[in-house]
Order: sequence, then C-alpha cells, then structure tokens
Amino acid sequence: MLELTRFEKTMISARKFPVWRRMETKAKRVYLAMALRTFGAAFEAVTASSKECENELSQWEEGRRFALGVEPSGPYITLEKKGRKIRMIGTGLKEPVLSIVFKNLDSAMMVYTTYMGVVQATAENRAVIRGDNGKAMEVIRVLEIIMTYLLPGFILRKNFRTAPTLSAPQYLVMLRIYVSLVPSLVKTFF
Amino acid sequence: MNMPNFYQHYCPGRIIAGYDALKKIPSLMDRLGCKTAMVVTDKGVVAAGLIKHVEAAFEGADCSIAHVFDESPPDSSNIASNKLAGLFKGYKCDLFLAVGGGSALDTAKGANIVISQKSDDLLNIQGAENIEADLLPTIAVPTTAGTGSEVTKAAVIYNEEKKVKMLFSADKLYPTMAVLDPKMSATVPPKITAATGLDALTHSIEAFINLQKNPIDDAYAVAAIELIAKYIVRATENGASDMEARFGMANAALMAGAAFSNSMVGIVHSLAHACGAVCHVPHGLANGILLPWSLEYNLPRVAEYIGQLCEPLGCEQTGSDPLEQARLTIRAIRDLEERLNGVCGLPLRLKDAGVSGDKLPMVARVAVNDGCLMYNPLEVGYEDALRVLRNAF
Ligand SMILES: [Fe+2]
Repeated sequence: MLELTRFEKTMISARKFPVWRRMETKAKRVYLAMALRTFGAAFEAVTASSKECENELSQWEEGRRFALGVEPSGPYITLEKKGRKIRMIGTGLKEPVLSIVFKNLDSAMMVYTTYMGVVQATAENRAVIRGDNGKAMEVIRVLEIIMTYLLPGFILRKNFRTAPTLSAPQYLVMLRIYVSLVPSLVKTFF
Repeated sequence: MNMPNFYQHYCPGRIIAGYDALKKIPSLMDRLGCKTAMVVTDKGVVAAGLIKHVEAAFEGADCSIAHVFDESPPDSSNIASNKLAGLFKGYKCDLFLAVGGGSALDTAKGANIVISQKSDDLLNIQGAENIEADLLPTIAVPTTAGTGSEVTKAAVIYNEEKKVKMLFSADKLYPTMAVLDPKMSATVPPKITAATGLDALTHSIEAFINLQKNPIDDAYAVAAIELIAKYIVRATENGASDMEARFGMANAALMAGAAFSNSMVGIVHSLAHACGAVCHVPHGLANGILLPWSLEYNLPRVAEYIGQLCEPLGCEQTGSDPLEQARLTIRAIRDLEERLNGVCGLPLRLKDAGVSGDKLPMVARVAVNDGCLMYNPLEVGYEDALRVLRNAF
C-alpha cells in the first residue's frame, strides 16, 4: 500500500475546495511562466558562451523559430536562431516551425522543477513535439547541452540522461554563463 | 528493473502460427467477413515460389485471391501504393493479404490509407496522426524473420515527388492478423537470414534498455532473445530443412516487433538508418555490426539492464557486479556474430559492409538527427556517434 505523507494528505484535502484548485493552477502557471522565461534567458546565455552549442547551431538555418510551452492555453516562449546564438523573441507562440509542448501543467511542472528531462517526458507521453523530426532532434541536443551547464551533476545523474562530464575550462564557461544570466534575466523580467 | 512512472502497450492483432498456418487464411477471412483478397508482394517472393503456397491454401475455399500485385518496390513508394489502391478497387477486393518483408506490407498499408481516406493519392494525406477512418482488414504473412512489421503500426513510404521518406504511424495501421508459417522463410539465403535475425535481436535489446522500457515489452524482448540465441545459427546454417529453427526465428521476430513497437529503438537503429541512407548498408547487417559497439556506449548508463540479458543469451550469470555482467552479455553477442560470420561470411565490420572511412562523418551527421535517438538511454551527440562508428569500422 502506498503511504501518503502528511503533506500529500493535506494537499489532497485542500484540493476538495474549488477555490484552492483555482489558486493552485494559477500558481503553477505563474511559476511556469517564470521558469520558461528563465529558460529563454539560459538559451541566450549558454549559446553565447558554449563551444558545443556553437557547433550545433552552425547546422541550423538562420531564423529558425521554435517554441516551448504548455498546451492548451500556455504559457509559451518563442526563440529564434540569430547569427551564432539563440535569441528569445518573446512570450507566446510567434509562428514557430517547431514546438515542444507539454500536455498539461503538471507534466510541465515535473520538467521545470528538474524532476525529469524533456526526453523522458516525451517518452512518458507528457510532452509532444510538433514539427520536423530532424529539427526537433537538433533542438533537443542544444537543450541537453544547456541542462549540463545549468544544473548540478547530481540532479543530472539522477533525473536526466545527460552525462555531466564538464572539464575545467567548461566550468569556467559555466561560471560565465551564470554571470551573464543576470543581465538576460533582468532584461527578460523587467 | 525500476518501475516506469508511465507506459503504454498496444498489440491488437490476432496471431496464427504453425507449420501449416497458411491453410487457416480462408477461414480467417471468413471470420472477418471478407471474400476477395488482394495479395501484395514483390517479384522476389514470387520468384521464390512462395505465392504458390498461399494459392494452395485457397483451394476449395469460399473466398479467393482476385489478383497478385507483385510490384512492391524495395522501398515502398506513393506511386506503388496509389496503383495498388486503384487495382484493389477495380478488382472489388475487401482484404489485403501482404506476403513478404516490410515493404510489401508498407505498400499495402499505403494503399489502405488511400482507400479509407477516399483519396486517390497518398500525398494528399498529411501527417501521421491523421488516420482516423477505419482501414480495411490486412493479413500479414512475413517471409523474413526480422522486421517484425507484421505487428507494428508504422509504414515508411518513399515520396517519389519530393524524394523523401514519409512516416505514417497510427494505431489503425496495425495489421489485423499475422500468420507465421515457417515454410515461408525456408528459402531465405543464409546471409539474409543472419542479418534479418540480428535486426530482430537489435529490436529486442534496444527495447529492453531504452527510456520507454516497461515490464510487458521486457517480457516479449527476453523471450525473443532466448529464441534468437537458440535458433539464429541453425536457421542460417540449415535454413532450408530446419523448420524448427525457422519457426523459432519467426516467433522471435514477431515478439521483438511487439516489444519495440511500444518501447521503440535507440542508437543502434539511428546509426543503422544513417548507414543505409548514406552508404546503402542493408538494415539488419548494419544493426548487427553496430549492436555490440553501441551497447558499449550505453554501458555507463544501463549496465544493469544489459547484464540481465546474459542469461537469455545463453551464458551463465557469474558474480554480482553489473558492469562485469554487462561485459559478458556484449561478449556473448560478439561470439554469436562471429559464429554467424563463420557460417555465412556475415561482415563484422562496417568497412566490410560497403562503408568507406571518409563517409563516417556524414553518417554521424545524419544519425544524430534520427528520431530513434529520442529513446536512447544516453544522450548521443555528433562526436559520440562518430566514435561508435569509428569503433565499428
Ligand atoms: Fe530494425
């Protein structure tokens, strides 16, 4: 028999009240909107500094637009390849050729709380990829590179399929990325 | 294994298997309410005399074969599918009887889509999930033991206009029934027997270790691996007379198909698809060559699962170190392939299979964009793909 923690029991009884359910949904949406924007900023910061990303992006056509988000009613962000890096062009769906979307808020929460990677989410039918298969693979590779720079090794080893083996120079890049995330975040949020 | 958070398994078709299973086809058609079959096959199958076995099964039966369409190309195409759809309607057929490897079945699936969507051109039907209308019944009779397409929902059809492969994948595309009769694969030459058998082995092993692994597919995969370990060398060595081995391999290929059509495949198939696209290496052969090297690549992540395949492959489980155990599994696969090499000269290296060294970077480039990598337990970048290819070269 599955034992519920006291926290889970409390949450379950709280969900009996419609007001709480609405609040919870709202909170998730707010969190995800923030997480997506942070992620957008991370795309900008990592692709500007990482050699691996640069190699990957050299194969992309200029101006490729892709979106990340949650179906059916958002939030979403749209990103674009510009020169050697990825630029966030804004929230919402802005005519992407490719999108990686979660089927509901809870599935998105699992990924954006780093409980699992996008690949695992797709394998579990929580996320769908719309658009060209080959291009999707290219986006996912960049996404996985970004994860290795953003998240600590123990989370990657536990919940992601990326093997985190950063070298000393890569740690320097990581540091640079964290520093450069600050202005990107400021720019995105304010 | 760690239990997955979520999985799904779907394998809807009826399976009829046995030494004279073909004879059951008319009564199966009866059960489906069908009277007139369109046999879909290719010239190779006709030349091998296999259609005669099928025709013999219809002697004295209420239902009949209206026409034998033997124009399925090696890569089934929209043109062949459209033509078949026209003939099917012209002959007033009500059932597809696909006899052959994957491409005959794919051509039948293509024609079936055209008819059920009330179209006359497959190119008008966009997208994989668009197939919602019920399809006409299809009975699949495989003549090789490898692809497992008799129980899978995908159809790959070459778009002659745009020169690209179109993938259709929908639940409606599962064949209604699969009929396994060992005499249908008795004439397959040794090298092809070995290569297609290794394709089935790869399906089961990749299904067993990848991200969508689940208890039901594991059961199919392990059963398939046991049969392949037991029968692949016998079927290769003595295929014309050893019907037990042929039947074992036919069952293994089907079960491997059921496993991977749910759990999907991974790096081996991505690399093999790319070897096929760039250097025209036959699918099963490429899989066989790349399998042990790819397992070595995945070893750091899934040593435990690879190690569990030691026993099904027929080696003794020794010690408790998963890494040690996994190495034994890989060794067992190499031994099996070396025995096949001894029996039929099956190439063990990419360079002996028509790949030139200067093409490897291009193969790696194509491979990293192959959708199968989505399900591989470990991330695969360009450098990783190239490393595995160089090792297997
Ligand atoms: Fe295969």
